[in-house]
Amino acid sequence: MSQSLAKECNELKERYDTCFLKWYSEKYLRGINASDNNECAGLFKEYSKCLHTALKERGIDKLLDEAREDFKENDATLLGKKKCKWESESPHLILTTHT
Amino acid sequence: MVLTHTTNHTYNHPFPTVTLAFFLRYCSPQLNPFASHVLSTDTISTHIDPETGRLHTTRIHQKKTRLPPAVMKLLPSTLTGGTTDKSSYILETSVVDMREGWMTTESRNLNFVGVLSVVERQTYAIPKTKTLDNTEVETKVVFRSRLGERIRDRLGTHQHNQAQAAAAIAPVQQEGGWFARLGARGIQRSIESLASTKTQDQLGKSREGMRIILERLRQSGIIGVLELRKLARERAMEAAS
Repeated sequence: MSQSLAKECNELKERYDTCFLKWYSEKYLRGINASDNNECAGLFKEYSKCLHTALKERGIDKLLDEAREDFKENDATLLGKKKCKWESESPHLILTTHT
Repeated sequence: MVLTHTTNHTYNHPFPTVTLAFFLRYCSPQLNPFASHVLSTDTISTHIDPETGRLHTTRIHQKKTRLPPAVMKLLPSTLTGGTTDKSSYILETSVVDMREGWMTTESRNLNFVGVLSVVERQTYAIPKTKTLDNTEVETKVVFRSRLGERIRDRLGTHQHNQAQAAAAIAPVQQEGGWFARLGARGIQRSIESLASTKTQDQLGKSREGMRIILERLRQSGIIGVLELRKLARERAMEAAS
């Protein structure tokens, strides 16, 4: 993958990405152990820790929070009708993040 | 004010490969020359829903351009910061269901949402005809400019912030009088249509990028692509040191 937004996380990101792509192509896409991606969980945890510190330092965490607020506002008002249609087409699109 | 643009496309590649290409599409400019504007890609969260087996992923991409230059020219420097060279962030959420054979993705800009919000939603699926060698994708982009609205909202709702909001809107109104000349609605419409034209152009490039990744996957498989990616990374590190 390309670089991480934080240089200090590049190494951890690279290790996680490689694990993820291997798992995704060799297992998930083939339906092997497709109900969990735990084998990269340890690497993700380390990378995630580094990334979240970087997001905070750069104020991007606030940008994410604002965006989430804005989604709600946007979707509730002007996009209301379209959003409903979209949701009925693909009810599984989730905007919240799980950390 | 909202502008919507929908396109359909068929890739001559099987659905699993297309979803892999989606995750790989910004991997490196060596693999995808159309990704040179992407500065970084990070995974914020990832999990599998144990009941459905669906993979949920949230990523954040950093891109070179903030807004189309034509849009930047319409805006006063008080809103844009006066420069065009900084980067902006895109939030991407995706859900893959390998059992049912579909993937939905959504990308939104995180910067300048008040000036222009661009939401791109894609649905990838195995064709209804069950042609397993092909993958259909519908892309829907919604453009919305709320320029001026947010400042007015803030004026209305937060009394204690009134002085601050008035200070923010004052230079906007003074600078060249553009706000008065065209009116907020006119500006919003111009921004939406300019961005829409630019995005249609970019959609072509993003499709081209996907096609290149897909061809690489066809030629050398995932292992080959991972090798290429590793080599490209090592070369980049050598160049940097």
